[in-house]
Amino acid sequence: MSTTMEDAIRRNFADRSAAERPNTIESANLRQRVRRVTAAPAELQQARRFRQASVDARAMERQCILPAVSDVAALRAFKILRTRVLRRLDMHKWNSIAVSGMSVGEGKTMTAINLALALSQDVNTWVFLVDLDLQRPQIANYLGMSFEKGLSDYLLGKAELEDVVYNLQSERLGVIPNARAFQHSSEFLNSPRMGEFTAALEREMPRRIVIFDMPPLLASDDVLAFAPQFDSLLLVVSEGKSGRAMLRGAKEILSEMNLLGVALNRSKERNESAYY
Amino acid sequence: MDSDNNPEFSGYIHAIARRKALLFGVAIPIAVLAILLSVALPDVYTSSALVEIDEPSSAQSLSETSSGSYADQYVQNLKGIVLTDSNLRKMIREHDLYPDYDDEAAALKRLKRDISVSIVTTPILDPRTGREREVVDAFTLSFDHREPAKSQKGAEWLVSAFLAEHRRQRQGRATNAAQFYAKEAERVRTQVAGLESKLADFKRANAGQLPELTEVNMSIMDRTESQLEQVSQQMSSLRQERVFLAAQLEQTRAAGPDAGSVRQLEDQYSRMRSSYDESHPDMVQLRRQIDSLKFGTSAGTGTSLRSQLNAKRATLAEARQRYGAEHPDIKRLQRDIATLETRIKNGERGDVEMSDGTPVGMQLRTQINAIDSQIGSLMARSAELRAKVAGLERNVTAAPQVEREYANATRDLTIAREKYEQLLNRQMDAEVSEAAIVGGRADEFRLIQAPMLPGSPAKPERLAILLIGLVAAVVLGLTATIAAEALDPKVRGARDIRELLSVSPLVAIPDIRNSRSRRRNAWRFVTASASGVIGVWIVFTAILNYL
Repeated sequence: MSTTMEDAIRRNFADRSAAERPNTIESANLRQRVRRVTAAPAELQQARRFRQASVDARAMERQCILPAVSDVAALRAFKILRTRVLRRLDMHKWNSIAVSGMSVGEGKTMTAINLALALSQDVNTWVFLVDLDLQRPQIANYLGMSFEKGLSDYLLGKAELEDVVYNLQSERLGVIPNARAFQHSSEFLNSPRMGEFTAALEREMPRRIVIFDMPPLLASDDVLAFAPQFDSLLLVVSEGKSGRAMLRGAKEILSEMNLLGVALNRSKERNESAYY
Repeated sequence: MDSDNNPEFSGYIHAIARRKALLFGVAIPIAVLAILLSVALPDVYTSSALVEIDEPSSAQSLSETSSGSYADQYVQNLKGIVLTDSNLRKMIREHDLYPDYDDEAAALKRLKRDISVSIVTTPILDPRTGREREVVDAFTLSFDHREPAKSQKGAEWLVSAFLAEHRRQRQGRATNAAQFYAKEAERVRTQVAGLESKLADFKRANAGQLPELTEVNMSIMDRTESQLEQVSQQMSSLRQERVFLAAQLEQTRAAGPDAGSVRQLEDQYSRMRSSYDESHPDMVQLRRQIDSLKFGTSAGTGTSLRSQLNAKRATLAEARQRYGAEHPDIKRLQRDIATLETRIKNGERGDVEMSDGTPVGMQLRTQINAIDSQIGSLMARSAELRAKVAGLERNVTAAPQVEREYANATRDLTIAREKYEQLLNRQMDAEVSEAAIVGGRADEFRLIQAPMLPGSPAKPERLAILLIGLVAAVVLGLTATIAAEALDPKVRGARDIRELLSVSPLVAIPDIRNSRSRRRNAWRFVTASASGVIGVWIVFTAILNYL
């Protein structure tokens, strides 16, 4: 009974979303099939190996980082997210994603890490994960990483790119953690050194998808200040946590950048039944 | 499913799905409570009596307070008097109603809850207004108890207490009424006595003028007036007779000398005077003849001195025409005149009374005298009668004035007497009804249905409690869910994101369950269910204690 009802509701949603954007479907039919451009073998040979960092499985489990947690529904959700993100990136020829939310505690960092991990599991995808929440750097904590130099050292000119990138499990995933918090984060984000940093990331071969873990949209001007440096924004909205009023307020800001999409976190609409 | 295409409905379904915890957290305790209550509530037996309120027929004096629309008020009043704490304590002790209550105050409270007095009304068509209205014609007394026997005992106690109190009240009221009427009657009696003596005084003061005597006065007056008339008639006839007798007497007197010829001559003389001078010899002769007839025969006898004097002077005047002053006739006449004048001057009238020398004259004179005396007595009588009439007239004239005062006095007296009689009647009525109440023959309250030993428990309605509780659980749970959903300012579900941002989310990441969240959830579940159990238990015991 409940299964059929949920199916029905989901169908309903699907119908609605289709009905809302008929043009999109129309144009999708006309559009050329989006082909994934796989890295050339020559590029793959150029791929740099960074230093390996160890992670703490318990810390990851605590922070719901997926390899450490066995949650089938969550795993599936991140795979869906990965695939949809990949398609959209390919569609728009975008390379970098800023992950942000409305306020603190919506699961931005968790989403960024899990997305990065999910993307890196795809053999054709190379990923950088950058901790750009300069006021409250969290990625290292989430992963239980221990490292020597981080983004702050790079920005202060104490280190080069290869010193601050760490490979996690797979060589396709490079993590740039941060240890030191900056008070004037937006100034740092607009600093020339930051420009050098993003340029260096883009120069890396094979081409990598760069995921920036950003502070909340409304808490500071970091995202707006850094907006010229990334291609698209992935908005994390937490069910039961993000206020509707905030979302309404953020709409205007969002219209100023490329919205990759919205990820609804902590959804109660758990669909275990659709497992096949 | 028709509701597939109804976004509102699916929204509710989602809301409920999201808030399962709240839904169950509200619904399950209520359902459990209902089940517990429906199973565990003790049986309560109710014994009730129906008491009819009679329309008072004999005891009218109480009708205004204890019938009609005031009956319910009266019953309430009675309830207030009967169900006092001291009475109820007595009831508890008498029947050992609540052996498991140590606290007397608690037992009392309990008892008050168990007793119920309710009014039974019947709709009737009011003959005066033509509208339907409710008439209180009975009331029920019921008593709840966990033991059927005690519930019957309690109800019996209530009935007897109510009836006794009612009788006592009515008797007291009747006694009061009787006393009051007796006092009033005494007061009015003295008033009547005072008025009576006042009336007697008045009658005495206005004796003869009282309106009731007016007719008598009038008839007496009529009679007296007719008597007066008779008297005056008698008097007038007597006077006529006297005039007649006097004329007869005169005739007898004149019949003596030539009275007729003198008259003849005098007539002739006056006739002749018109044609002749007085000095005519015929006239002189005629005059002499008359004179001689007049004075010659009756000179000095029949006439009065003055007429004699006049006659002498006439003769003298005639003689002077013929004779000189020295004529002896003239001298004699002059002497005679002088003598007469002196005699008149001396008051002499001569022999005025005519000589009634005749026997007929004498007789007539006697008759006249008798008539005179009769007339005198009649006049006295008439004066007396006139005085009497005048007195009666005064009385009759005064009668209307007296009548007014008299009427006032009698009216006051009549009213006072009537009042007195009424009061006496009422006093007697009150005494009779008092006696009737004491004898128990005039009870307005009639026990129609005596309290019976209840065979099956009246309460609780287990099925109803169960059903109502379950329905309430569902309704309240859903209400709480919907209210929480409506009041929630946070983003819920993909719908909200579509509404707010006009984009569908790429993915819905479920709440990832790690060990921490599992622990937290388990802890939450344990605390919620523990508090639910404790809450249900508290409410359950509270209800059990209350009932």
